[in-house]
Amino acid sequence: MLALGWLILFLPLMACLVIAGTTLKHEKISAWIACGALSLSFIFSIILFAVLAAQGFPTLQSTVTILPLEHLRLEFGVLIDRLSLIMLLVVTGIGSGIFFYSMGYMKEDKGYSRYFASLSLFAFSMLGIVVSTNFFQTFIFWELVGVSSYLLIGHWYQKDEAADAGKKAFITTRVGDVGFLIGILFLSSLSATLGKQTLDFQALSELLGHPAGHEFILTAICLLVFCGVLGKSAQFPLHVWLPDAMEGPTPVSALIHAATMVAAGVYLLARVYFLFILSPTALSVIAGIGAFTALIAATMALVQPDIKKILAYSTLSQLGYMVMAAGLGSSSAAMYHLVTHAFFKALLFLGAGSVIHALHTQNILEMGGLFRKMPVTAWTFLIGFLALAGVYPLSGFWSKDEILTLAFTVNRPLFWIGAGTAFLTAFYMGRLFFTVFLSEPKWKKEPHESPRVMTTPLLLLAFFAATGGFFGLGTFLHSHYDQAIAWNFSVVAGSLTLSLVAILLSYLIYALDIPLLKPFEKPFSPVAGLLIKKYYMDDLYDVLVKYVQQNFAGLCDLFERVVVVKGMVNGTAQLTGWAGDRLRCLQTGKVQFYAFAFSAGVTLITLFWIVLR
Amino acid sequence: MNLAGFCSLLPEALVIALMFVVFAADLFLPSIKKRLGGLTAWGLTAILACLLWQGFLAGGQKFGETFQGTFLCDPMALFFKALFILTGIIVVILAREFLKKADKNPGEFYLLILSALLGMLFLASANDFILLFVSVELVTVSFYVMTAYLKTDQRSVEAGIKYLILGALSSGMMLYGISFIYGHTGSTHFDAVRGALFGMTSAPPLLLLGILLLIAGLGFKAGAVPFQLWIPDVYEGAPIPVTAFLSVGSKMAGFAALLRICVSVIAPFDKKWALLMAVIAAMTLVYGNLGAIPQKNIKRFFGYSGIGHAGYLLTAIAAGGFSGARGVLFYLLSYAVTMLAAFLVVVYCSVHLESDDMSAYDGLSRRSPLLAGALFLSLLSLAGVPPLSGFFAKFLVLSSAVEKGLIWLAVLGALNVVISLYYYLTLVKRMYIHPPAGGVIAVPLSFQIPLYLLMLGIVGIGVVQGPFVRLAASAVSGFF
Repeated sequence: MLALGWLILFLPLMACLVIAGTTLKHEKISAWIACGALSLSFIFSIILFAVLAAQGFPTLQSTVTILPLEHLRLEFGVLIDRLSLIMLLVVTGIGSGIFFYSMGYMKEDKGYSRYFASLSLFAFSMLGIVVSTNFFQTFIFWELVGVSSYLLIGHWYQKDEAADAGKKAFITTRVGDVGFLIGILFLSSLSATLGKQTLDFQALSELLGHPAGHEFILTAICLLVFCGVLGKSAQFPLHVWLPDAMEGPTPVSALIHAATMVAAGVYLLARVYFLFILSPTALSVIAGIGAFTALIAATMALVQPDIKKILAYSTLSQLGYMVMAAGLGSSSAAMYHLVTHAFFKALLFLGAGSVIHALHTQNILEMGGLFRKMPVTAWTFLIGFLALAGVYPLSGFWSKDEILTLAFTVNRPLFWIGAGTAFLTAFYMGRLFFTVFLSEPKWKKEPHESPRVMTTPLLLLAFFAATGGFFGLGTFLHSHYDQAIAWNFSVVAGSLTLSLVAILLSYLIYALDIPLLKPFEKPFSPVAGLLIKKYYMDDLYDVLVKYVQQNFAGLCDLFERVVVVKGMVNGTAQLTGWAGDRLRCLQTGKVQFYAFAFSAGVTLITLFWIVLR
Repeated sequence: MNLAGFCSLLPEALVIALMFVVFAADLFLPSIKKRLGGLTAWGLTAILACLLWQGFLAGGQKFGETFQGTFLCDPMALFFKALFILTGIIVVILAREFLKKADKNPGEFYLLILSALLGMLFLASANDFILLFVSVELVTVSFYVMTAYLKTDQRSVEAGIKYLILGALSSGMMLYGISFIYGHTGSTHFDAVRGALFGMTSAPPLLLLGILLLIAGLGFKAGAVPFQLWIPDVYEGAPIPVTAFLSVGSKMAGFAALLRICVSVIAPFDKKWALLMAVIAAMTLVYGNLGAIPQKNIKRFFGYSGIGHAGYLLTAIAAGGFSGARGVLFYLLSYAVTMLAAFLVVVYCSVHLESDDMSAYDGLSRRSPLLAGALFLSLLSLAGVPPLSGFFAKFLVLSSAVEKGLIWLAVLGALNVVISLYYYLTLVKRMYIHPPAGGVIAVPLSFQIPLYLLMLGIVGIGVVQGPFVRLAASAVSGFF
């Protein structure tokens, strides 16, 4: 069975290599190779799931030792359990849908083959994180995911914004990864202290069963590992890269920056939850950061005019929910929301892509009245919107209300933040939906519905976004680690009411154009300015970069030029060159001298030996 | 000699048989005469398969011994023999390419290659000083003739003479040393000598002198300072396939003997040994790497670079112990694969560009992307750039030195990596940045296949080190 796991992992890599190596010039073939490989992975994942379901989901692991030294053992493997199975299905399933959608969306793009090669590379890297058996492997694939994300954000590298956004995403996540790496190294030495140096998840979880003492270092490790999550899952204060990453092609935004890669952080939290559970301090920090991110991202989404950026902030906000759930003690609730969110957010992004494809603009103020023109897109988008807003009985309702109920029982202030965010979410999504589909048309050229290859994935995703709550997913995930959360009906009713009120308000304001907001515009304009400026976070980073980092870099540059290059490198090069020249004088070419040197050498060594004695 | 004894001799016997076949074909079958190179290469490939079968049967245990225990077929011997035969195959391919141009009778050249190879095979299995000496001589004498093979080329003849004189000197020293060892222990058999050394409370000075002379003789083959002066001159003068064979096969033979003597004869003997070896290693490292910088001739360049690599191997020998011995084997594996890939390119260029000057490589990347790419890859691996095999080989060697407390030597080794990177990259710069010096060079498929296989080896051994490290470990674990 595990052979299937290896196959699932390596099929996309093979696709990437084949495309990059042979079929770059043949666009159709490239696309089919990429789609075929991932679809095969998806089918294999389903088979794997079915077979293991019959056996009651045992935990399987197979590893290959890459570095077999006594003190340094690096392994690479495939770990299959409930958690990785569900994630495999999500990544390969949604991935295949988005791969096929891309065939339509990216048509006539110059880098068509390159796009599919990068996409396959991404799928390989992401699957590598999913089936990883140890921190070392996770870190490698973590970075690979970063690289492929960089390649895809900068797919249209001729555009400065895209190139810059790629760099920003890569560098910002790297900041978090440094912490992650340090955390891994700490963990490695901690495990050595506890008796067995290992980075393997299963071995670690057994080893850390009774960690008497070490609370402080464990908290430090947890927070450092969480730094990696901060970067990849775009949590405050490293969230700034995600909205910019929307410069990439829309299917990429759907796959990487909504459904899978940004969820890798949450997946990691769930995977190594045995570690986090040992440190209540770290958990409360995590919950706080998650809630805070959820709230500020939702407020920023209120004022954005760009359809993809609204969805990006919404993603930030939902990721905040997941992180908060993990921090509040239920990684399964976080995973549940991750899965449902993957469906409806991918759906929303693909729907947005369909709209962009039709109108060639991303500004919602230039859209309007598309409900009639693009019925499939509109209906599916509506389902995604209602699922995200948490309307009964769509998938988002189940997972989100589970998190809210959890917060209600564990931490009341965070519950209020969560509820407020739920209200804002429904409102900004209402603004988006009603402006785009129901307000007065503002476009000039008649838009058309997208081709079949694009609408089919929309329909499939819409089906899962609508029914995701009825497959027993929650129970499945909860039986992985913890108990199901008892439903609290007052919480559910309250949050549902909040969402419906928000949707109604947004309908009145944006679809019917009733100026309810007029009286608030004047007094709240500074707030709106603050939101439009994204709380000046980007500006703060710019200032930091400009004054602190630039000066520091200048100093380093000076040191490098004068001391390192001039003094050390050139100096050493001259010295070695000179020494090499001198050595050449030994090489006289005279055999009698060589024989003499040989004998002299033997004599000298003998003398050396005698002296040593 | 019983059947088991014969089975352990099988590869050697097959090489002798192959020699007869080549000899007969050369004399009596003019139709095959043109294809002697292919015949030899395929014959050696079959012998390699037979050897691997031996290794499979042995499964990490001693396979057998014969000639009253003087010929020992243990995992280490098998490991070295596989490397030697691999080298032999590639050298035959190189010789074929070379002989196409040098309008000569090829039969005798292949016979010389096979006889040197036979000597190496016996050397790997030698468990007795007499057999050791005889096989070293078999190797060296074949090389004398091969070096001076181009009788009309003055440089070739000069190189042959120099090699002969210095080789004779070193053989004499070695034999002199062996006679001292025999005089003190009463035996030439390794096991008996080790037994005698174990019993001694303090080492008699003349015995030490004997060991030193032995080391000097083997150090000559391995290219250790101060016995290395012949290398650049002989490498430059010799026909280029011979240069390749010298720098891979002959050097490995030196280390095979050195390693066996270190781990199986004098290992328990004297701790000061390590310091002496460390000093020699340090000098060899610095000499080889500094000497390579100003070189203009590709053969001399690889000669010096080979001395530098000998420095790393000596570092591992100085570190000694299990991890040192494992380091030596892994390093040699990586070195053989990488160096042979490099020589495939170098010989092909040398034959087709008719120049051994490094300026002939200007703009090679545009004349033949494959040749330039393969050489680039091998140079990176030689310099020790991850994830290629050379990196991990150096890592094992240096970490074995650190383990034994030879930290200064490890630091020196690491510094020399930087120096080596410098001169390797100057060649890369020539290939990739300088303007091309001529038109496109076509590479036939028969040459491409071994080149691709070796490139795969360079990357594969570097990325998936596990099985190879285990192989090297199982080859030496019997001694510890």
